[in-house]
Amino acid sequence: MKTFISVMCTGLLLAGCQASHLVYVHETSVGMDVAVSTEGTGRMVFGYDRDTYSIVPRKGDGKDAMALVSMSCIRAHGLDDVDFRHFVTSGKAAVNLAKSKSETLKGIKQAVQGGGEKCSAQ
Amino acid sequence: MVKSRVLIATILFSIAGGCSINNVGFVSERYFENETSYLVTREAWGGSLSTKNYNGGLALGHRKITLAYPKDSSSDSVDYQDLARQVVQIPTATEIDGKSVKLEGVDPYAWLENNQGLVFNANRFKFGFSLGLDSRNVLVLPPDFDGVVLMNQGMDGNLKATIRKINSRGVSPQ
Repeated sequence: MKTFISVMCTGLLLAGCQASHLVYVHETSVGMDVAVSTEGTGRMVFGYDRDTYSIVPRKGDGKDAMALVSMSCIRAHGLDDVDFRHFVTSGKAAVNLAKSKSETLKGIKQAVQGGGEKCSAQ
Repeated sequence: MVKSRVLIATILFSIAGGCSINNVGFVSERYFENETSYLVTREAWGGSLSTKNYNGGLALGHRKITLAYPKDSSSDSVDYQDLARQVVQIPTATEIDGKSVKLEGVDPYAWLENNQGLVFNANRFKFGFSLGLDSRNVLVLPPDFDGVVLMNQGMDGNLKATIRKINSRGVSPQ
């Protein structure tokens, strides 16, 4: 029991470490799930849980966060049927996209959503 | 005492049904490629041990992971709307011989993982255990990444992915 607590505390301490990469995670669990994450969120689940999170790190010490433009369409059906589309851009590509015309962004959003105003099935 | 012996015997029987370490042992591995990416599917039954940083750990049951690796290619510019249209219609990758691909030292930028059974995780994304059904979709990009990533998973459960890097000469605004 003491060993288990020590391991979990170590994991919680590690959870405070700074992420070095852009991370996007979508996860689902049914049953029992116990975890501490170094890049993400700790969890203790008994039953059903669905979690989505992202981490956008700094480009370096004392620097700004990564430039990022992303659009996603996620449809979940039941326990493990997940239908998703991700459009993710970073760096100069993201900066230029953010500066582009609103029609461009709207067009990309509609394309990711399957052609409509709302996220639809493929 | 009897219950513990039954439990141990059950676990050993599960492991005896097949065991693997990474891509060696009772594991099925297939390689695919499209214009910009390599896709690798790895499926293991029984006891499987992974020492990879993305899904390190021990699984007792069934484990399947699909990994997407970038090819060494880049573009001078990108048409964002054309790419957005592709996110729904990413072409299906064609299967290739895994011996023709060298991915040692290359980190995947995305993967889709599905596990059933008892899984002990010890990797950068998860440290703990799960018992039951567990699925995870992960996208990881380095802080200096300059480009576009498209990912698509339909109801058939297959992952499609493509990546467009922009070369260091810059990006042409659209």
